[in-house]
Amino acid sequence: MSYPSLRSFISEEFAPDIAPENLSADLDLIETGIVDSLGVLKLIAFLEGEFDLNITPDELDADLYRSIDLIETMITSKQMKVAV
Amino acid sequence: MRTIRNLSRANDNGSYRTELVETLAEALDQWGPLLNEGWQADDQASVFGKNRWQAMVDAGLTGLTTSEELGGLELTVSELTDVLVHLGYVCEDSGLGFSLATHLCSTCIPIQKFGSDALKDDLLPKLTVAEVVGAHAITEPDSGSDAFAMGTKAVKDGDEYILSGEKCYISNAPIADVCVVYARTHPEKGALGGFSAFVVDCDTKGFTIGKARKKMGLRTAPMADLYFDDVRVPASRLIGREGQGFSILDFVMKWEILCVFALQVGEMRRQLDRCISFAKTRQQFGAAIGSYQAISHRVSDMHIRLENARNWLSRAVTAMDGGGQASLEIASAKLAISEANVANSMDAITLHGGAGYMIETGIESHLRNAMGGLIYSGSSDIQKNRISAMLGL
Repeated sequence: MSYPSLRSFISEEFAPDIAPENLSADLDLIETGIVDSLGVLKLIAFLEGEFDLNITPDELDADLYRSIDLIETMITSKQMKVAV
Repeated sequence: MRTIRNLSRANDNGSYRTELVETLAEALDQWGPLLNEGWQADDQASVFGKNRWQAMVDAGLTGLTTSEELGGLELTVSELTDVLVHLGYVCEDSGLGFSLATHLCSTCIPIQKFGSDALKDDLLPKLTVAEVVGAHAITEPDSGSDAFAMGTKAVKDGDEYILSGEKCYISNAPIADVCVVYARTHPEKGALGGFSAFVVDCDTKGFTIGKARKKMGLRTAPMADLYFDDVRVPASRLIGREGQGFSILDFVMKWEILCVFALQVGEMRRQLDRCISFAKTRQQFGAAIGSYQAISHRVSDMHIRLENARNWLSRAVTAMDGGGQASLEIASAKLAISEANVANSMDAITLHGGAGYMIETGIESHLRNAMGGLIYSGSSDIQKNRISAMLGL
């Protein structure tokens, strides 16, 4: 599932030179340095607020936030768990 | 005297156990005299109080966070911080409380949360009764606020890692038996995924602990630097997964802030009570000094700062108990409490006049101790960076 507000947030906060629609879904946000350690905390605060999620300490794992694809998968998965 | 370790964990359904926390607070009141015996002399000599530490261990305080099956009480965040606020009120030796918080947060908490079953079974029972004392090593000479610029490396070699590098300003190092060391395992990955946490026995070959450092405050909490010269650590001593250092450190820092600053809230309350008592009894110009607005307004300011600190602590604890990251609340609480403590400590000295300036009264020690709070666990400036980042700046 795609979440336009996620793309907008990443573009606005971390990659102002790239328009949201031009952000590649599999771009490695960590490897490219777009999102650093403080950025991950900002991203998580955004995800918790925007999608009403609780990110647990175990989920503070760089591999879960490496790309827009992975983040969207995590959002969907957590929302499905809440729904169940 | 009542030993906390022997208490039963009633009402184990995840809700706040009021009766248990009240019983713990009553037990601490009983242990107070032993926790305080001789602390001022040790503070002046920068000596760790072995007898007071043993009283803390005998009371069961080193097992507050360990799971029940491994011998502890497994307090929740809100229960633990309430107990520590009370400990801060009862225990006048801030360095002793700081050493306890370091022991719990450096080793007990991360091993309980992220450690393998084997690591838990091996270490937690010993940490719970302080047969083994813990410390953790993060700061380096060239990496302070920029913690993830650390140069200490851990290179995999078969079933072991080889650690090399150095760490500085490590609380509890002179009394520690084990140390959780954060080291770079994948330099190419940077902060996220590039660091790991290891439990290292302090008597391992190649691991040297420097001589105790002298500090402005918290003098009874010993501190030293660490040196790792090709120290071989079994892979079984890795906490969590390789590369999980960032998430472990973030988690540990949150607990450390809550624990250390819960103690400070208790200390601030004791300090304010003492100031009010002094203002009521000290006579100048024919009246109690508390009857003059110059004093009463100062006390009012101290009260508001204390309540603000207490409210921020409560807000951060509620956010942590809610299961989320609570980064904004914890950074705000750390900043608010540490700065309130310094401001109140200065007011306490001023209010007491000459007596406040004398070492023998113990009033000036609050300020010396409080100053450290602006620096450790992320300085005030770093907390402001985190807060503004969370606010979208």
